[in-house]
Amino acid sequence: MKFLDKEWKRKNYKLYVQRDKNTLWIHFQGQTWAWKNRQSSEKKRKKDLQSKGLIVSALPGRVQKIFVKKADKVKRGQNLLILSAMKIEYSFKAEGEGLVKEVFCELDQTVESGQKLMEITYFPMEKESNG
Amino acid sequence: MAVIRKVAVANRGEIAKRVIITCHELGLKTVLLYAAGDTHNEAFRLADEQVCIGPADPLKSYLNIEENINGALGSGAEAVHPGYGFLSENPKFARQCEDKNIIFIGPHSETISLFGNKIKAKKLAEKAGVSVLMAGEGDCHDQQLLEKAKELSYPVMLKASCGGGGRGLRLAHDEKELKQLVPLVRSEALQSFNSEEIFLEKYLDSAKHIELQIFVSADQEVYILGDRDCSPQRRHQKIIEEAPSSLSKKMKEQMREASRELCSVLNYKGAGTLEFLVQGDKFYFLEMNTRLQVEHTVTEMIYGVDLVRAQILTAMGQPAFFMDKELNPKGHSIQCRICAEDTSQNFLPSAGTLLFCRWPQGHNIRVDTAYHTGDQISAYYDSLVSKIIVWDDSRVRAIKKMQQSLEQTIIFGIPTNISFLNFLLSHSDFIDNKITITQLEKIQSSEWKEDLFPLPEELAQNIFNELKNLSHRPDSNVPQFNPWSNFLNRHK
Repeated sequence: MKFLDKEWKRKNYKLYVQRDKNTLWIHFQGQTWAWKNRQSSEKKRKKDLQSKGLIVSALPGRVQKIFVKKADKVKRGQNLLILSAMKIEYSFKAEGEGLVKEVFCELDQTVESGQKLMEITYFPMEKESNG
Repeated sequence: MAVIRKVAVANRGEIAKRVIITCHELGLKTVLLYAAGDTHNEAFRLADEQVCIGPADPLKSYLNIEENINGALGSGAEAVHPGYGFLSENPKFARQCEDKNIIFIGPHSETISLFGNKIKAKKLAEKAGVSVLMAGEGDCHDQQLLEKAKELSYPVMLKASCGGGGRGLRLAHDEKELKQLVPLVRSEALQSFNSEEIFLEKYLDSAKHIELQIFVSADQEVYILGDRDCSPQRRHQKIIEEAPSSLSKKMKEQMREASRELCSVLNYKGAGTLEFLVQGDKFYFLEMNTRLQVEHTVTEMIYGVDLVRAQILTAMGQPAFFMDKELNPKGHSIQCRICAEDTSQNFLPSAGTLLFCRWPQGHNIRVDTAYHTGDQISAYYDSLVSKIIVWDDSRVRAIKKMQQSLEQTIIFGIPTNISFLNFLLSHSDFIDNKITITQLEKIQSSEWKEDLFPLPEELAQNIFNELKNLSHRPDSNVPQFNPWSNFLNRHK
């Protein structure tokens, strides 16, 4: 953590700041902000992952429900699976029309953060039209 | 009188730390029963001993009765404090403690069992002359439930009889929805609470959640330590609590009488909370919690008591309070729950390392937390990071003090709900004491917006780059200041 008393374009800013990888944490006028560096490619990578149809758990949790199996056809918005973590349920939905390429998890399985849960092959045409 | 020299704490986080500190004040040794990996916090560091009771997954550790009992027995502790949540209201755990001659700091296992079943508890309340909102209890099959729902009139709440902590309950607006929800809640109840029993409750959409803190001492003296207003809730989780509530004197008196009646029937022991829904000039009994609550702090602030100490003293068979009988509330207290939630992503819980942490300080500001700079918030447990509690002589001043406290708070590394709490504290409905249990969802979806980033983008980018440069600058380029350099140069 660093305290800055900074002048910028004739204005004075008193800030607490700390950098963590691609995030700049700022406490200014009693509020805390997480400013993301736009120049980074991290977001892009995540987006690419999504468009590839790979579903990855963002938190450690438990697979509570699986609605589809390998080779199932899915529609946009269809429920794929429910993960429960920290007392809350997260449902993953299909982003377009496609096929379930692989299911990597089982019902009731405990999964780690970043673990692959499922892979969907989206039909390119449909995805664009949903754009 | 029971002798207690060492207390096993069967919990984690801020409440474990809270109990440990009070034990140390009383000259008691503590042993923390912890899950593997849950070591980056003040509870772990402060305990005299630590015994690992299993892996991070709470089902295998904090909720594992056998491991907790073995941990307590192995450490030679005479008593177990269960905190809140986890095993605190598990009658099997309390029973096991009783069987193994460990003092369970709380009521008797049979009392816990009685109140753990919400249907039985409500029946008891009815007997004591308190209104309840229940229907469809007992062996009601699905068709009967639908009929009962019609009698109550929609919307209705479908609840698991043994549920709790905001789980095992669903809202149905019409018959179609209820039909879908019945099997769902039944299976959820069986899975989470090991009982298929469910019931209906009339859903009050503009009710306040008011609860009474009670305490029954070792010599069966019933203390009613005022009420708390815990209406500001998100997804059935309280986030702002205060004491006293704004109810009329007459109503408070009625609720006190009902509660006294209920407690004296039961041979109760220790701390407990009676929860009510209040709408208009009517109040309905919801449930009784046979444990300490997260928001016990605001009661402590206005009564000047230590409820954990009272619990331990009661377990020892000693008088619970110093100022016997003459317990009077003073002023106003508010608590805000700081949760690790990303408000920009629909309050998604977050986890990780606290890069930097500054908790508020000042006159009558209390922070109950187990986390400081460098500690870790684990994704395995709930997202509570800290409770900030303030006291002042009036509600208006307490709100001001809370706003100041939140502004002082800095948490870097994980997103928190502080901006939403701040928004609520200055919301006219909160200031006018009009928040009901369903209102936060509405406020969140229709009124609340994250503030715009207050700095010029280029300035943020500039600072970001500067900090990067700093950390990457090789040592040789950093101007070195050496207090002896002048001295050395002079002698060259």
